[in-house]
Parts: sequence; structure tokens; C-alpha cells
Amino acid sequence: MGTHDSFRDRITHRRIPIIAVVTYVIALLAWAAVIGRWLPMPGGQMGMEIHMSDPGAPEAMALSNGLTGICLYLFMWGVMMVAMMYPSSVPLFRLYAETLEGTTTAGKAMRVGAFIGTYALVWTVTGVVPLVVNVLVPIVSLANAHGGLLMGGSLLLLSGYQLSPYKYRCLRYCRSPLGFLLGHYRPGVRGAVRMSWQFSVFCVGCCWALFAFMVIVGSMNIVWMALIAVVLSLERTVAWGGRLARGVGILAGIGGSVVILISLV
Amino acid sequence: MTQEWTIKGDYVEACNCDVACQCVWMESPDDDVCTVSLAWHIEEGSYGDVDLSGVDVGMLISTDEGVMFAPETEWDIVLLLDETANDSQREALEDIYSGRAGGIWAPVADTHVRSADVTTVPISFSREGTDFSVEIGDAIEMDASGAVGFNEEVGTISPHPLTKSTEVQTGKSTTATVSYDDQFTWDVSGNNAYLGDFELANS
Repeated sequence: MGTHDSFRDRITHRRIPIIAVVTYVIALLAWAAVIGRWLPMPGGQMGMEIHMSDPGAPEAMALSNGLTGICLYLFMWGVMMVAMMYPSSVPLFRLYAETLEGTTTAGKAMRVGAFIGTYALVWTVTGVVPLVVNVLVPIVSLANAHGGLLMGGSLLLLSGYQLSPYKYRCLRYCRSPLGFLLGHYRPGVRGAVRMSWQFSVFCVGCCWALFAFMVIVGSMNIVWMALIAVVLSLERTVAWGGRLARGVGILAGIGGSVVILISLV
Repeated sequence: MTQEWTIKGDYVEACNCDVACQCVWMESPDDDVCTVSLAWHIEEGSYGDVDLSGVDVGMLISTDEGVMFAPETEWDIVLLLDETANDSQREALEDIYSGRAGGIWAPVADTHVRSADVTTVPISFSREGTDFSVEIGDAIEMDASGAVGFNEEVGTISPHPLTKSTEVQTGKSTTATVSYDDQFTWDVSGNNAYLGDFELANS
């Protein structure tokens, strides 16, 4: 019978935070790509007067350039999602990588790659939603005609969702990476894809209203991107994240009501 | 040198919560602490070249107050290894269950485990359908049966971390006593038991 030293000390000592470093670097590159406009933009070379940060502008440009435009938009949206979502997912990526101890380096890379790749892919696909919405109701013309109502309405939608039990349920999974792994762990590359898919669903469930709001204020608006990334990261990582989510809901409710009142008067 | 491993077989746990234990929903346990004994009979398993078939394992967990899987809740554990296992089998099991060899125990050890004792004891593990009977040295005595509901069906709970389907059967202990040392001594007979088949792996 032998008493062992704390496992945590031993594990922490020998761990090099490769997963965290790689994830942060990818996220940083994605931010640089968005801010530095490294991404090819649909119709961007035509030197138009439209700013990509304007509400509905990226969506309208994508749709007016056919399939190429749509693909470029989704690519841009995917890069933006990586920039915004990867940093707060590091705890889960790290814990998942720990479960692969004993697997070959190539095996680990495959599984971690499948995990974070699936996550990026699912978020990229959600970019179809703003495109479809834009086909039904062009955001640019709506923003020009009824800017206040559009902004206020989307704030009220955000408020309603932030304060709903659905938000709470999804956020609980996002906030407890170990809890998620314990309930969903599957071995193998297929297991990685499957787990990542399940996690992405909770993640989309948690954040879709924030992104809906972002599309309304301009889906490539760097300031709002940064603000929303900070909010969703704090929601998921700090002890008061649950209260922050409700606080954002209440603020959005007040803000939305005020904006709508002003635009109606 | 850690290896790829996979183990599967029969599993039973008996804890202090009323039926059914709510830790799997990430809620606080009854009494706000978790005192649980767990036992595995590995029917088929391997750790690299080491065959683990037919070996039994027991574990005791005693947690701090609060939600068991909340990041700040620390656990003390005792790992009880089958004395019929040979040295390499025991090393393999210690690597697996201490979280050193990946799999779900690695993040558990990283996130929760404050201290761990390892000891070798005689273990007898028997199962008939949903009736389990486990005796581990002088430390653990655990008898548990499936909790039957409507249609004479045993209830199930999901997601539970230790099974491939993430589903376990609900049960109730008739005996669930532990006497290992001052910290690990309890009688939680008549409370929750989860039971069924398990499957774990690290790759």
C-alpha cells in the first residue's frame, strides 16, 4: 500500500501546454486574417463604397456573387468563428487531449484535429443561416429603412434567449468541459468527430442569439466581434458566467426597448 | 511508457445518495458529499501487450462538499487491485485508473483527484443479471440489485461516464459498507446503486 503525491502536481509538471498554445495561435491567426482583411472577399476587388462592417453588407455581396460569393462568405464566417470560439474552448480541447495519453503522436494529432476541425466545420455551416435570412429579407435595405426597429428587435430576441432555460441548459455543458467529456466520451477518430458534433450543438445552442445580434450590427464589424467574443468567453469560463449571461439578457432587454421606443417616437 | 488500452465487463457502484444519484446531472449529492464504492470485473481487456481479462478492480471515492463534477470539488480516492493479478497487470491497472494512461480517468485525475491510495486485496465479484455481489478484502461489502419499474423493467440513466452506451441501469444496494481507514468508513446500505456493462478505452 502506498500513498501517492497529488496526481495534479505530477501531471502539471510534465505537461507542456501544446494544445493550448496551438489553439491560441490558430485563433490569433484567424483574428489577424479578419482584421488585416487577408481573406478574399466576394466583389471586394470592384472597389465599391460598401463597408464590410456595415449591417448586411457581407451577406449581400456574397449573394450577388453566386456560388463563389457564398463559398467565400462561408470561409470568412468560418475564420471568424475560429477567432471567436477557439479561445474559450481550450479547456475542453486540453482535457480531451489528456484522454489520449498512451496513443501514438500521429493518433493523437488525428483525433485532436478531428475534434477541433469538426467544431470549426459545424460553426462554419451556421453561416448559411444569415445568408438564407438575407435572401428572404435583405438586411441592408431593412437596416436603411427601419434601422432602429431592426436593432431593437434583435436586442429583444437576444434578451429573450439569454434569459431562457435553453440558454442555461446549453451553457451548463459549455461551462463544464469535464462534465461534457464524462457524459459523451467515445474513443477513436469517429468518437472525436461525434463528440465534437455534440459539443458544437450545445455551443451553437448557447451562442446563436449573440451571433444573430452580430449579423444585425454587421457580421464583420471588428468592435462588435471583439465585444461578443469577450462576453461569450467569460460566460463559459468564469465563476460568475451564469450571472453574466442573465445580465447581458437584462441589458439587451432594456437597450432593445429603449431603441424601439426612440425609433417609434 | 503508456500504452493503448481497452477494458470492458461488469460494473457496479453504491453511494450515499437516495435512488437515483444525481451527480450524473451535475447536481449536489444528498448530504452534499459523495461517498461511493465502485467495482469492475474486467471480462475482456488489454493494456499494450498485457492481457487484463478476468481481473477485478475496486475504488473508493470521498469528495469535498458540493457538486461532484464541479471543477473546484476535490476527491480522495482509494484504488483496490485484485491480488490474483500479476505485477504487470497491477501496474497496468494502476496506470489506467490513476489517469496516467489517458482515457476518461486522465481528465478526472487532473481536475479532481487530491490524493490516491493504492492497495492490493482479495476481490470476489459475482453478477447474475442485475444482481451484483462484491466483496473486497475487509474494506468493501456491496450487494445491489436493479431497481425495477413499470412493466417489470429495470430503469436506466444516461449519460453515465463509464459505459459505452453512456447508459447505466438504476439499482439499490442492500449492503454497501466500507471500512478502510478513518476517512473511508461508512454504511450507506439501502441507497443508490448504478450497475450494468461497462467499456472504457484511451484511444
